[in-house]
Amino acid sequence: MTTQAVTAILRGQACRASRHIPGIAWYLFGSALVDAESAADIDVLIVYASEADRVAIRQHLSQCCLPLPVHLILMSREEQDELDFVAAQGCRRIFP
Amino acid sequence: MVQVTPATSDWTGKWVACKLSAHDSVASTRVLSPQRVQVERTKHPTVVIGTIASSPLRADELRPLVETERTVSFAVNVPKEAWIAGDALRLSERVRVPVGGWSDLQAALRLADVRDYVSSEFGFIDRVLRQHDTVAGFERLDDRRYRVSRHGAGDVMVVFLREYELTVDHVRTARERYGRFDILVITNPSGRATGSAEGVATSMGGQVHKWKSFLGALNRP
Repeated sequence: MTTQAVTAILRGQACRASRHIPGIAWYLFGSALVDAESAADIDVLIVYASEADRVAIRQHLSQCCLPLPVHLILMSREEQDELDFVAAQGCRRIFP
Repeated sequence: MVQVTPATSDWTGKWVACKLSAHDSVASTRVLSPQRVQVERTKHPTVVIGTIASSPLRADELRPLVETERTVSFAVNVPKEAWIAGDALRLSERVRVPVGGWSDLQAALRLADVRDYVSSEFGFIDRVLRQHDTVAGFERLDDRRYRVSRHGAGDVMVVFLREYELTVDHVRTARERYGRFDILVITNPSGRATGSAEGVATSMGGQVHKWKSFLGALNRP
């Protein structure tokens, strides 16, 4: 599966999630950004605003099926600010 | 529990066969069934790998792969976020079919007998605990949860996580998976915890440590 196809699947999932949990941002990072076909897994970062959002994201993801070996990191905005993870890892925003 | 892969494991055999074709010690792969892949290796004998996508992976799900299918020498649980419950680990030891993630499978395929595989991370944890003067014994309860018994002090529940950036979500997910813990150890040498993650662990009555501070913490009541 190409990086473009992976991005499209994730964007669709993010779009559905955003109906219930507005204000979260999805990023793709790691080797899947370069070549999703040879990547062992798909690294995804979701940045959320509140603990309620974190719980809602986990709840949403527990009910959906992605045909991808996703490695997911959930990070609050506060943690993202502390680590500057998006810049440090070269994350590419895929939603919104 | 997070389920970010399909509930069925039928896609995993094809996925593993495809990914393994690029592995340096693999000559060819053949999908025998949706969850079994035959792997011809360049330097070592051909093996059959069982494939699954389940989190948590429990003995009831593993059993059909490793007991019914006697030919399987290694079981790979594909999702990176997946965790393996203690009953599945004990079944794996009893039938001598190692179970692990994708990186475990890649390492195991370099061994002449993949059944000999022991994760380097957990081999290291076991060795360190055995050599610690305060440790009287330990038991691996789930893939990342240990009960450590100490001389002259009480038992402690320890969760080992290999995260690079330990976040609040990792701490809360560990609690949901493994229940109460006293100590959470970041095994990644370059790993670190966010301030919020440490705060959440403290609020749960636990502490976050890296290796060095963990070894000292074992000496304290």
